[in-house]
Amino acid sequence: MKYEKNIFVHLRVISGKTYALLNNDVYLFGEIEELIWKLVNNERTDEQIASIVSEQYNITFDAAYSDVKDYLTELTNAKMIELVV
Amino acid sequence: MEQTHNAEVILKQIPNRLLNTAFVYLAGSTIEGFGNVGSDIDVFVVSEHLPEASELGSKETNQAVIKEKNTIIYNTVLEELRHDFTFISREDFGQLITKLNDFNHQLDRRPDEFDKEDLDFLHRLRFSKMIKVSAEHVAIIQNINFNNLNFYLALNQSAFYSHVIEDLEGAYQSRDFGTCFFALRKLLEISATMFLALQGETNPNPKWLYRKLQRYCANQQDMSLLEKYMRLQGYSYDEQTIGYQLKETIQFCQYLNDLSQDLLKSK
Repeated sequence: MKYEKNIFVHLRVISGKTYALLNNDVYLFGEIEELIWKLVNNERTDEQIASIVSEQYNITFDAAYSDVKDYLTELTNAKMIELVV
Repeated sequence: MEQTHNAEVILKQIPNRLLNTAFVYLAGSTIEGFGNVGSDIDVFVVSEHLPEASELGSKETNQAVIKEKNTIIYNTVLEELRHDFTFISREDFGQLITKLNDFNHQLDRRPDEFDKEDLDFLHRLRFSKMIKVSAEHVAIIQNINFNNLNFYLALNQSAFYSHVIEDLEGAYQSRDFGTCFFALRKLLEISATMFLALQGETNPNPKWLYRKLQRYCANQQDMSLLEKYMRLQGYSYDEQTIGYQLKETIQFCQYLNDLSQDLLKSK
């Protein structure tokens, strides 16, 4: 599955921490969340994102895929991204 | 296009009592490489004291002396070229440099504000050409942390980005497409200015955005950023296609903002 970002979400780094802002909602990104956010574009699949996360954090693909899926669902529920395929 | 200049003629305009301990440099669009045949030459003089108006120039025409903030500005024509002299005291210069060096982009509190003139002055110093300078002055200049200028300008643009994207969303939801059209252009300018500032392109004057983009792309040997910027700026207003234009433009701005925020995390 592929996702794309809500165009009205924007990142802002404040005091070295990364926040995603959408209307009046503010989300603090951890390191992996930020990486997943940056990897979301309308061309990359969730499996491809998980593969990159798996490599960068040296964890199994299955573990990465599970975390990535959960987080993408969370972002979708928050209307920060949406499913395109 | 760089104008020719005659250092000897320029230095003769500076009162002797100031010149001995002053350092003098040329700056501005001609020195930065952005100027054109109509550009003047900007001369900066950092001296212990400021000159009196009566010490500057002769009684010839086409000269003006203006006190502006903590500087003295003196305009004259030398060898058929307009020269703008700016005198600043060593104390004020030192305070400005200390403020820049002390700026920490990772602190939560808002920094002491630099005003428009400060930013312009610091940028010009960065792209300057010394014509009278001592070893002591060279050491001072080499210790200036111009990266902080990158961060300061980018942080300001980042705050503007937040405002404009919120305005855009509101306008689009209200079907105020004319406002969307104008705000999209503004967002493009903000995004590019922020990203370029973090690459050291700190000229604060919006009129040089094209030249900054051009120089950045040429250095990268990849003109795609400039080409995309110009294509997105080139859209004409059409209510039937504004939705598509909005999405494509904001995605590009979002991309530049993500890159910029990443750079803002760096030390």
